[in-house]
Amino acid sequence: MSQPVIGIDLGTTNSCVAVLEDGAPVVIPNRGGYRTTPSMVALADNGRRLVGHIAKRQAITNAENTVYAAKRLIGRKFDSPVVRSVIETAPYRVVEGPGGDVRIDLRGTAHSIPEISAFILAEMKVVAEEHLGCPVTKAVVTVPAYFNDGQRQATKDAGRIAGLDVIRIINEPTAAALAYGFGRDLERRVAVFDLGGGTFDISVLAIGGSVYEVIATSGDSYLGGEDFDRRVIDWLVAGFQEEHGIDLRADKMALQRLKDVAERARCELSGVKETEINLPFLTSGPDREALHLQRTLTRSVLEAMTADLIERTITICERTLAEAEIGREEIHDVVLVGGMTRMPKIQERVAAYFELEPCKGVHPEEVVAMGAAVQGAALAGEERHVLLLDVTPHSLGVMIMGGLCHRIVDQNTTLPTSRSHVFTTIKDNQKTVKVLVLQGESDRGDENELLGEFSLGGIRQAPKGEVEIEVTFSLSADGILSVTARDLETGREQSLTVSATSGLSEDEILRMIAAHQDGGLAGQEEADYARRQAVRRMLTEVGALFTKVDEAIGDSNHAREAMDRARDGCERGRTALEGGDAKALGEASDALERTLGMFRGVLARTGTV
Amino acid sequence: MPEPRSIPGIGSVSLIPTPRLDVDLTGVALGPEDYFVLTRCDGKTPIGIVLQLTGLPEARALACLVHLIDVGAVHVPGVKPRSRVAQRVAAAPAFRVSMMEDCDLVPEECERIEAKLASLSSGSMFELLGVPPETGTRDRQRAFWAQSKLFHPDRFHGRQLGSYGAALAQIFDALREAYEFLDDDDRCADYRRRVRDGRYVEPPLHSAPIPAVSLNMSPARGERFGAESSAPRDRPTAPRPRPTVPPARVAELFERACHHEVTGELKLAVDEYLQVVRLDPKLRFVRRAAVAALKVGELALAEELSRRAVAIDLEDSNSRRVLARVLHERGRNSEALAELEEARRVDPANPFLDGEVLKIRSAIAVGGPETP
Ligand SMILES: Nc1ncnc2c1ncn2[C@@H]1O[C@H](COP(=O)(O)OP(=O)(O)OP(=O)(O)O)[C@@H](O)[C@H]1O
Ligand SMILES: [Mg+2]
Repeated sequence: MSQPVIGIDLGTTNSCVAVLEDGAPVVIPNRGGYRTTPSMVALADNGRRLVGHIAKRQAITNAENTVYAAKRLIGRKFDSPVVRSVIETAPYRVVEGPGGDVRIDLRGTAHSIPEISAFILAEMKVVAEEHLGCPVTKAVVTVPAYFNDGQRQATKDAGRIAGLDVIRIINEPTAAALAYGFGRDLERRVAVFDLGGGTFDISVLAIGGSVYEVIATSGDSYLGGEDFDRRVIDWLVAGFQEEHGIDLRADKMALQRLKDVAERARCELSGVKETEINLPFLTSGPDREALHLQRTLTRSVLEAMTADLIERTITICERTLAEAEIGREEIHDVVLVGGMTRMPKIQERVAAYFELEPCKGVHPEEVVAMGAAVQGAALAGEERHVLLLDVTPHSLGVMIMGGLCHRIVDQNTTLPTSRSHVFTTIKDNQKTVKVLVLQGESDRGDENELLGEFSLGGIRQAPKGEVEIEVTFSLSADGILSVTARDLETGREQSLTVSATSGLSEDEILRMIAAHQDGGLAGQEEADYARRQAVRRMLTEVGALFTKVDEAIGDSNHAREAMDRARDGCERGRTALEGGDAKALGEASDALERTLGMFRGVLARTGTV
Repeated sequence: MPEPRSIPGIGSVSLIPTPRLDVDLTGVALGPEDYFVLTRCDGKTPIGIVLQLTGLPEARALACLVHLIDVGAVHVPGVKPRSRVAQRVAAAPAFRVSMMEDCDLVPEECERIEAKLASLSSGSMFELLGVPPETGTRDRQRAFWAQSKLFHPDRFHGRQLGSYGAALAQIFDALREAYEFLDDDDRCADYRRRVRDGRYVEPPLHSAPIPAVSLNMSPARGERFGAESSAPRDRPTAPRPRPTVPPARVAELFERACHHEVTGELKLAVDEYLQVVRLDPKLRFVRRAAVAALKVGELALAEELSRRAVAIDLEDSNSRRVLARVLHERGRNSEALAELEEARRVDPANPFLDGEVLKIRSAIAVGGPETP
């Protein structure tokens, strides 16, 4: 059988991995038995890297070296407003990278965001490998539909650093729809409303004959549970300030505890109407007396302080449907995705807006990974029926004279696609043209995002307006863009795969891949060495006790059998030491341990120790 | 001046449709009404008048005009042939699949892809999607899905495709464009009517060169598939363009003129530009000639040329800008100002106009001589 392709939902808060087994997508639980893994990475004081639940457990005591919600930073520039706001609130240290990108400083080492994400992806890879019992190198990774090119590229880089071949990046709501429709032979128009920890997406799909055609998609890549948490934290901080005159924001440990408790309270309020928030010994007062935080939060207060966030999601839905000229009545099903859609108020608002009861039976935190696994199998040719027709969420174009943006690929164009347009020079004797690649819906260049730029040189000397330069935009099925400019006279070409905002150069990525592999290798060697040592130690001990036990055990059939097994164990131990692999060593060590246990038991019973 | 009436999809009725005499219409099915409308387009009469002159019901005449634009028989400034499929298809025959290629496809798949690729340049968009013209939206969507399942590049993911990769991309693009084009009810109805009348045939291969994207072969225009291809035989092969002045010669001459303009040998440049214009009175050639004439101070010639340029494309603000500069040089500032105002109206985004308006306003304010 060919290697399975896993599907990974790399979430802001939680990540999840799934694979197609016996023709159906299944979520793979991690070592602790949990079906999702917190997207957290920490560096402990002994230099150990911790990922997932272990990282989450120590987050409060090691706040400055524990990274959460890194997805909010991926593919963003250091000087962007989003990064500013993260710096203000995050307990970890955000610093500027060499390319104007974002890095996180953990105990003196700056880590790029793709690297942080790579640790999470690598963890998911291991979870899958342990479950499947074979190496896994191929994956489909999901991103929010509204992620831009740089964010997608950075996510792909993260996969490479983690030793994964990311065969496709797909959009989270699309993945959810794939899992929703899988094996059901639907013929419907479905809206997927995905509100997770960090991002909001809305997508409308037409499903039929196992084809999933995305008709429209939009969202906000900076709107999610984190923002709801922030509202609760602000409310708690303000209350504390009023009561004790102390600003908790300066205290990183307190902030981390507040965040923890805020999220917990919020989740509780999805089930009950009122909850008690208790943080004993939160900080100390002016006379060094211990101060505690204790407040009651009701569901209605929570709803009131987050009403505008909820309305924002509805406004985006409205705009998306209007732009795609889809009537609300044309939607047959609404699927809720993301942990945040467990909040009753959100379910209520969505139901009221679409005038539809949202579909039950979809697991909001798992459905995305399951869909990714389905797409993985489809691309691997294992699942022959499914075909995904996704779109680009943003318009793409180039900067032209007057600072305007000339659109080349429109929003919601089905992928893959390539479009070209012919441009000309604006100055006499212009030797080069500069192609500024823009993304966004504005007609003004500076209101859109600059994805990258490059120049095409060697142009014939000519008065302005004479030279013809053809610019071609090609969008892959991943939604990743490459741009080519061609001088139609000389045939000279210059192209660019937009990766500038990923912030990492190819060299850096290669270095990180190597470092990651070394790290993995070192770890493996270490474990190997430890196992060898253990086998050697046990062999010596068994050898020393052998005659004594042989005498003490007597001469029954049972005894002979036991001694044969002991001999066999020793033999296996010696062979494994000579050149066995990790598996042989492990088995030998198990056998020797059992033998040794038996020896000790015999000697203890006969009193001949 | 009152705003001229505007026609959806085309624009102002004051635009002038020009017959494209370089386009060979042999392969294009035009109905008698189409031909009639075509004969009313003389390159001088604006659309509004053309529509009246035909004596046909306006909607009918307009449909013919749109069809003429679509097939490339008539050019209206700023209006692109509406069927992007049609344009794209023109480049298709340049793509030749090598039969010896080292790829992971089985022969049936290769044949299927080649046959589909060949069919892009014949048949209607309905045939491309594999539906009868009267099919409704839902069935068209289903057909698009079924075709996508056959030709979407993802269906071949991870396989070595060689040049079939580019072929698939091209097929899928064409399918998608047809699907999107027909998704508009009005457009679809209009197109359906034409298909029924047998008038849907795509533009001749040598018109509207849209460079073949993502294929690193230069499109040899007008060339059909080689003998090994399964191109249908029943479609009349478009003949090569009538031999006129070889475009290469014009281009060469033009390049030389540009060079002389840039190096300051302006007199020479003007002569060469005039030759170019005589061979091929294209807008940018005419305008270029006007600028050169202005630079050497041959103002009468410059005015004549820039007026010609303006007449070729009334919506082209740069031609008007050149004309305004000539008029300013000739001391007719208020006329110049009027041209600039018009240029600003047709193209508010042109960033150079404001500066020129200021310049001329100040010239008027200073009280420069106004020679009638
Ligand atoms: N019962 C609940 N009630 C309210 N909110 C909840 C509940 N359970 C989880 N959440 C919230 O859902 C969010 C996490 O959802 P999810 O795991 O779907 O996000 P994610 O996939 O990590 O993020 P994203 O998709 O935005 O990258 C958190 O903010 C969490 O507080
Ligand atoms: Mg999610």
